[in-house]
Amino acid sequence: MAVGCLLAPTLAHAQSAGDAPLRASYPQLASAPSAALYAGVALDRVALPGLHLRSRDDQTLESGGVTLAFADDQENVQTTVQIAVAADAAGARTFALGYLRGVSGILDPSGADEVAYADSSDRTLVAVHGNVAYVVSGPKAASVGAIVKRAITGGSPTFPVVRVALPASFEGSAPVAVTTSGGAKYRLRATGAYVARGSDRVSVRAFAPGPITVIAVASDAFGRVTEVRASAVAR
Amino acid sequence: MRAVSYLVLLLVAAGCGGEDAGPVQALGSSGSSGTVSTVCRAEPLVQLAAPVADARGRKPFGIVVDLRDSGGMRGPHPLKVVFSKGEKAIKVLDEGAHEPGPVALALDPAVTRDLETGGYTITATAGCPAGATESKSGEAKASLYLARLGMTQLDVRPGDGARIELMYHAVDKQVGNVFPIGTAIASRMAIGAGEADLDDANGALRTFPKPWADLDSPPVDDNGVVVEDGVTFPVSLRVGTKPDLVFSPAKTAQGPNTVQRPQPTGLGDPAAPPVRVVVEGTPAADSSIVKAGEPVTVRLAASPVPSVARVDQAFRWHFEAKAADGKWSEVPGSDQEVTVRLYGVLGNTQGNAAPELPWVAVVDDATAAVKGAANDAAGTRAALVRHIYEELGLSYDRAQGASHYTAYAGSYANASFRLARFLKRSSGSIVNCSDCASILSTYANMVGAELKYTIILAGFNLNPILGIGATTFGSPFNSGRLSFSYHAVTSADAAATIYDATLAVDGDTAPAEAPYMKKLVQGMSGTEYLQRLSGDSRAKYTYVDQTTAVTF
Repeated sequence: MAVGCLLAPTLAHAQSAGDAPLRASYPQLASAPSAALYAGVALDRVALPGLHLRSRDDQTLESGGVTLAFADDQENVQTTVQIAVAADAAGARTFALGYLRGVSGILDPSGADEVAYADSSDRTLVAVHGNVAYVVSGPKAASVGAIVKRAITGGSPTFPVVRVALPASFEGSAPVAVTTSGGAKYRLRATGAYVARGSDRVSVRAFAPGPITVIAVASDAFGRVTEVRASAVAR
Repeated sequence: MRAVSYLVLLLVAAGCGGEDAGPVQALGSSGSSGTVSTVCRAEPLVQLAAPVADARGRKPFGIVVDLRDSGGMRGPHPLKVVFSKGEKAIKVLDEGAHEPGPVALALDPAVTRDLETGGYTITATAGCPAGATESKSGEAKASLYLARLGMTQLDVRPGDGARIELMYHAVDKQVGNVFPIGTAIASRMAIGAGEADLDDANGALRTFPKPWADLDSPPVDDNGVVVEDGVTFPVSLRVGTKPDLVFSPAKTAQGPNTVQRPQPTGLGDPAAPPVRVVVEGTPAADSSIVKAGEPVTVRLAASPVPSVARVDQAFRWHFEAKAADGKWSEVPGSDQEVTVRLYGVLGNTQGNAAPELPWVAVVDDATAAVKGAANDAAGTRAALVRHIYEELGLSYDRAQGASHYTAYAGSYANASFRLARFLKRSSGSIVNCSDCASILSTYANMVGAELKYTIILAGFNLNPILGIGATTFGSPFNSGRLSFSYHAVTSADAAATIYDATLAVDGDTAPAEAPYMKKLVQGMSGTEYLQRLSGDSRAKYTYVDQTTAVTF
């Protein structure tokens, strides 16, 4: 039986020489981070007046964190909120800096949060609050940021525990068992195979003999995301 | 168009009406004197459209009885034409009186649809008119093999070129759950266990499935398992490829009413005349002779994808049977067709493993956008720049030029593109230069027109530009600021030539000033591009030839 291992939800804190201008533009992110830790963001409390949640995409921090897209009645996305709950404050700052690396303009310092940057038209807000980073894109970004800030929940960031089990070797297809802590939701994908979801069981079906990996991305109601991988061999 | 009438397909003439009557006389024995002959020597000749008929052909099988009278007598000659199996008459096809000459008859599929496959006979018996002073009736027989003709699957293989692998990125709508199409047959009928290959459980003739329309996922069953039967998958071919069509002939067909089980199609029966498959637009060849259960390969004579394009290609084919004299003739009503969505591409420069493997959803859009306007990389890139800049409904992020689908983890050298989210516009239609570079390079690479991204640094002034989605030249930002902290573009040659779908530059001799002449960046030299974009010496190609990683 192959059992998936937990991957630490951390970001590589690598720095790039080409980032010097970026760091110069956003000096607060280079300052010593606070030691404050929070459990995460109560996602159900991130509700925007006049808009509805069109989609929620939960990824690890490296892949963008949790993205909430809010749309109007015509299903046009008006506002997106990215939330990254890191294991520590440095991870949150790295996330924020990574976001700012992809901003062609230059944001101004903002007092919206512990570390925050915003644009003058109030459509972009990048903020860090202890180990939580969030980005708002859309109208009234500061107001939306305040909603997110209020949803930040005290406590320690306890990430979902996920266990993926499948036979160490199998022929053609094999059942996949996934268990998560605290009712965390999960999404499965695979390499070398695809995941078949039936009404009462989940299986993995190999494309050809060889190694396969099942990847589970689990997330909870506080925006904490964990990725687990379990490997096996298809005969 | 196959317009050859069965009238000119003179094939089997198994005359058995007695001795050779010699040359046919135009008139009676008195020659051209105008005397009417009363000598009757009836000599029918049976001419079949082909030596093989499809028992469930889509149109009647043509038979011509050439009613001759070598005695020269005119007037209605009694004629009886019978379709039979051995001694058992199945259907009288004609019983009347006809003037000498061709009598056209038809064997309706309604007569044959439930018969056993195998050998049958058409017998024509001709008599003489009343008043004949000398009468000699005649009889002719023709052998007809009744078969069931059809293919149950068609694959499209590389032929003289290449088939480029594709994948679905969201099996059962689970993004990231991928399914490469590579090993799947292009089109396959769904045949249930115990059912005949050619007919469904209700006896209806099967047809090939329509192209699978979902660009994200293949069909799945209730257990989430990918269904490959009863599906026509898209196929990506390198432009100019003359693919091999690999057919799988049916082995069984619905049996006679009296037998509740499938019967052999008759193909491969030693008693059956040779049958070959002929693909419309490709010359027939003896190499495409069909035997039950054995694949038949036909290489197309011309490429269906001479340029980068999306083509819903209707492949049509029919069957021909070989007569004893060596001539091939079409079996009436034996045609089949399937429409396969083909993508003409240049190759794949994105990657060979998921998630980099070309996505159906991307290749479909990219090839449709190029519309056959290019068959090389430069032309394809140029068409894609226009498509992204003008046709996708995208607008530049005028707040701060932030990326919505692209991230740089740790460095500008590590771009990742959330492609599935972009395809669904999960974060809306506002983008920045990194997004446009990701979209352009990914679309181009997935059709084989290689592009990498380059980052222009750092903090430089701009000339007035026409950002994506904008209607006037000027600043890309609401603030009116004319500068970028960075800018992402794409190139295939280390920034010597630039493709940029984010903005159009002023194409005249004074790019910093009005008037402005919109010029798309479709293969502009790197030097010219920087001059038109900025003119600021701080703008330098810094991260050159970087590869964007696709994520979900």
